[in-house]
Amino acid sequence: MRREKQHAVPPAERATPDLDSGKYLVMWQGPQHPGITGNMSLRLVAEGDTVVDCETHVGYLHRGFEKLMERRLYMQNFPLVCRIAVPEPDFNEYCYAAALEELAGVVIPEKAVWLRTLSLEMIRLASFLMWIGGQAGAFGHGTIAQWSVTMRDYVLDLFEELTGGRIYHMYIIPGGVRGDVPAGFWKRVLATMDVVEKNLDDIELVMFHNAVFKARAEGLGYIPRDWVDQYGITGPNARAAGAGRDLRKDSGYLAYPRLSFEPLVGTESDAYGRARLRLGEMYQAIDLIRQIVDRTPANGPFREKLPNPLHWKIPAGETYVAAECTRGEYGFYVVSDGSDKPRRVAVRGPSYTHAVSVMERLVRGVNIADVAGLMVSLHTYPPEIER
Amino acid sequence: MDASTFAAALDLALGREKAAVAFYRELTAMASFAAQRATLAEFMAMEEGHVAMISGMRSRGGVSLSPTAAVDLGLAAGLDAEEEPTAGMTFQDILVAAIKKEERSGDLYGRLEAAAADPEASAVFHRLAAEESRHRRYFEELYESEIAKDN
Amino acid sequence: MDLKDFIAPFAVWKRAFEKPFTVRKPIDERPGAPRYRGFHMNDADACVGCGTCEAICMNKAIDMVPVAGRDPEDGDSGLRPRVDYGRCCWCALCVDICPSGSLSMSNEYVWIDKDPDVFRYVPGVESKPWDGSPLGYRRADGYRLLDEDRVPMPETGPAEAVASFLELVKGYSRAQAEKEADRCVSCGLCIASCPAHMDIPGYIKAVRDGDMEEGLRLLYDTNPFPEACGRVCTHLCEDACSIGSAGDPVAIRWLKRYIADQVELSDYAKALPRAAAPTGRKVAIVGAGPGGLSAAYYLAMLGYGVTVFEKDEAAGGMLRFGIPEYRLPYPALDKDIGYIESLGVGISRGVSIGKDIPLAKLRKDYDAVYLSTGLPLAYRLEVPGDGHPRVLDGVAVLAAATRGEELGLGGRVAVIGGGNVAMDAARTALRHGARVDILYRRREEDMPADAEEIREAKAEGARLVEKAIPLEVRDAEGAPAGKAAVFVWNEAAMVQKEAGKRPVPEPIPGAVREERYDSIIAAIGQGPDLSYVAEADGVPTRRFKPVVDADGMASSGQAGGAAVFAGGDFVNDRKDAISAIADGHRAALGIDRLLGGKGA
Repeated sequence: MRREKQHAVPPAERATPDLDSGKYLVMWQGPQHPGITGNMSLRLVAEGDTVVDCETHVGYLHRGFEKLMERRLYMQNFPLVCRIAVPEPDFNEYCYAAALEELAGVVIPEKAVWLRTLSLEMIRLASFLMWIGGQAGAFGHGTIAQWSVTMRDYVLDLFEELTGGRIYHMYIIPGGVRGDVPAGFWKRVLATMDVVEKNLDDIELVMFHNAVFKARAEGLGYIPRDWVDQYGITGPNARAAGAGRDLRKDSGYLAYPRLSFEPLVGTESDAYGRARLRLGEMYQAIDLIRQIVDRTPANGPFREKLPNPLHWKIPAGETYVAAECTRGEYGFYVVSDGSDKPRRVAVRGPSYTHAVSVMERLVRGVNIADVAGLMVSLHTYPPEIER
Repeated sequence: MDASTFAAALDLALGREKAAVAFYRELTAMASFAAQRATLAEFMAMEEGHVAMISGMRSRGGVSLSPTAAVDLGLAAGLDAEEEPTAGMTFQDILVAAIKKEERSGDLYGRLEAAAADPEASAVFHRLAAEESRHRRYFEELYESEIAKDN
Repeated sequence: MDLKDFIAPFAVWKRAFEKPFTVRKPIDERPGAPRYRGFHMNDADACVGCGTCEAICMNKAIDMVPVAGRDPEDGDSGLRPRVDYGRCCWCALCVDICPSGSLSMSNEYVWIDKDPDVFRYVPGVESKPWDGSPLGYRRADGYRLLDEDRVPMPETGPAEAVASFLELVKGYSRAQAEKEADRCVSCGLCIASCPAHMDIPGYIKAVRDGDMEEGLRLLYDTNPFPEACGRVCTHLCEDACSIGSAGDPVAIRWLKRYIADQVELSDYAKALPRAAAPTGRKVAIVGAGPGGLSAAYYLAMLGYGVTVFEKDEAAGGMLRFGIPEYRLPYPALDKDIGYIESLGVGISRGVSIGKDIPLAKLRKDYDAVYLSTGLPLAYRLEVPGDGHPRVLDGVAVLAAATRGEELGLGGRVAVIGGGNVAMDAARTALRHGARVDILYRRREEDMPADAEEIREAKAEGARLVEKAIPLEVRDAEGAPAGKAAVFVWNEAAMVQKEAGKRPVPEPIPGAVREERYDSIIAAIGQGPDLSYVAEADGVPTRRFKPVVDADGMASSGQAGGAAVFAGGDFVNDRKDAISAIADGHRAALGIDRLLGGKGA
């Protein structure tokens, strides 16, 4: 039932529909639409119920994070950066902290390395759990969303215990982390992983062996392998297309070089293939978390002492620090000028490529009813587009 | 208490307070510079106030003084009063003299209280002794804060 | 697609028979985790109102506000943080940075009210249901954003120290000074408690920035004795320091010294402001101590012609003659004084007002007179025998040591008193090889001397005899008359005689002790010499203190002559160098106002 790949029209060959002809309907999807994964909108031009053109509109969420950071002390930006990608704040925290540490020449303690890795894998799992609910929901399977969001909440319970916050953890602070794990925490992590894993088995059964889901997802939003480099596609969107890139493996940050895992690589990057790959990465995250529980040192400091945050100045320099988030390469480019505030911070969120250029190209020829499913299958978070 | 005993007791007290005024006057005559004279004048004015107070009590016929003695800081007993103030007297010299004077008055009233046959006269002397102890205490505190600051 | 794809989805039905995931709020409470970052709590008594929470808050959610019943005092601004939950993002950086550790968070996260204006309150002051909650966010053990430990000052050890009069404190290196300066949170509690209200956060910032000239300029704004104060100041600022509320206070004094030490005297003029154009008016100052010379400095800066009259052969007052050189080396003091003199201030050394020139003449010859003659007279022990030739006065012993005179203290020395003069005298005697006892009427914790002075005196070998009430001094038997003395004291017990007052030493009956000494140094207190002030000078005194107004003015000037200002130890209650310096500055501004100068 795989669809034809005719909608993969290169942008250069796009013809602007003649809106005065009376043949087309212009409609907006979003910014208030659950299928849009956040505050973003699509201006669709439909002929019948087929989308013939699409323009993405962003800006609804612009809070000027990058500019704000230039006016705040280095440490004051630490509670700010997490807000750049709400469902996955920890990657912002990590990239920001790691960039400053690199510029300031700070080496964080071993324990912090492991606790940071833990928090990144836990949020990967939580973020995917929310995504899979959205993906199923976009095709009418609300039940999956009810299960997976519950599972996500169990993971957030762990975050609450570890960091004092459910959504914005503000745990990875420059220098290390803000605290050790509470007593009995590892036991509860493992118990939660068992519960989530069992639930994933259920989801695998009812979602991936589902005639309706298959019918609608297979062939939808097909990304050929050669687009990966053309568009700068990263993460599961690229891996599902056969590009075996994973920064956790390729650049080996934090404790990843010491963990045992192999990047998952697919063959078909359509909505179904990407969902399959992400499901696999959820199991992989659970496996990594179990390894981390096993190997995190019991003792030792969890933060390197830094200068007084009110006066902390970082020597002039620039760096780019990236991490593999659920959606691909997440990066912070930080320029310091020797003062107590960053001169420039630029955030690279993978959604910029996926939700704007790739989406505009993939949506043409798609049935209006499938637009939401397509959008979710690219797994994008609009706030990271407009930093 | 009959009027005569009461009046006699207060007359005695009045005499002592007037003697105290005279004591400061004598020191003032001996003084050689302004700061000494200003301090002595202040202390003398206090004694003059006491004279007025006791005269008032005598004419009203009642003693309005608390019977509670002030806490003894133990300073007066240790102070060496051998030396008499001289023209170059310091604040320490003046305060020592003042404390010793109040102590002597208190002692005298204490002895009179013990010797008094009349219980009411005894009570009057008791109150006068207590009053003197409060004066002494005032000067002792001043001594502690201004003179023996480091001891 | 196979058959399984049509059957498998029905597996969702099995959940219909399982327990729901949801919580039945409000029947089932769901409290936040033990470290949940809920609404703020503040221990308002532990809080010092430093406002560091306000400074770190990136949302500007915290305002420091006055609260009823809490007045500003030394080390406490009297303000308390008010949190605005319309702005707060619950990041808890305020908790992490709080110098006193008073801020924390409860694990409460539900707060419902119809009135939107109530979500802004002063934790710990306006009571809330979650006050005192044992749960909620606390900063983790071993996790602090601020450094609670002071950079140790390199010092000579006691064994080596007591062998000479070399300076004990060696001073910070640049790296040490910058690290120590980094600990400051610039809250400014120190400014309020400093008698001279020095811009302490400002000059500490200059240390961080490595800008010594800016630092020196800020020091001289309020204090022309940075070398001296950088060594011997009583550092009230450090008592007030917010970092000191739960750690070592910032070494403010050593940082001041660091700045002054870094700049050569020859470079001072380049860094410091120039004096105003001459006003043509003249001011006489009596006493070349820190107070008198400070007044001289600021008056010279304002364009006045200043002459300072000093009875001793050298300027510096108690800084020179009262403080031993191991604490304040003379070259450091000379540097401070040298800069003041370089501005054209004349110091007439060896001229005693009263003896050599009457005060009335100064009032006639000058446009204003400032008196800053301090407390030169040592008070007597006031026990029988205190006139014994071996009973010496502490101030005189220290002055003789400064002059390099033979002290002849002998091998066994008693120092009577618990103030800084007593400690200085004891440590001077130790350096002359004596075995020293310090006898004090109360307990060690009651001693008015700086704690570090007491500690160092003990470390250098002085024996502290507490609760010793002096009884008498006798000539020692077996020695030539007047060559040695026996000091007799009564052991005391501290008795709390009145509630709210300090305990009183009460002699223990029969517990009379005595010891033979070659010298007994009395250091119980000092008084002023006011014999040079006559009634005609119009300077009012009360209990041997000149009475001055808010400008330091004692007499506005009668027909007989110029106005008289006064300040320093014989006027203020603190009786330390920094208060004298503050008085001198105040009087300089007061004189300028009175004479209608530009600064008026």
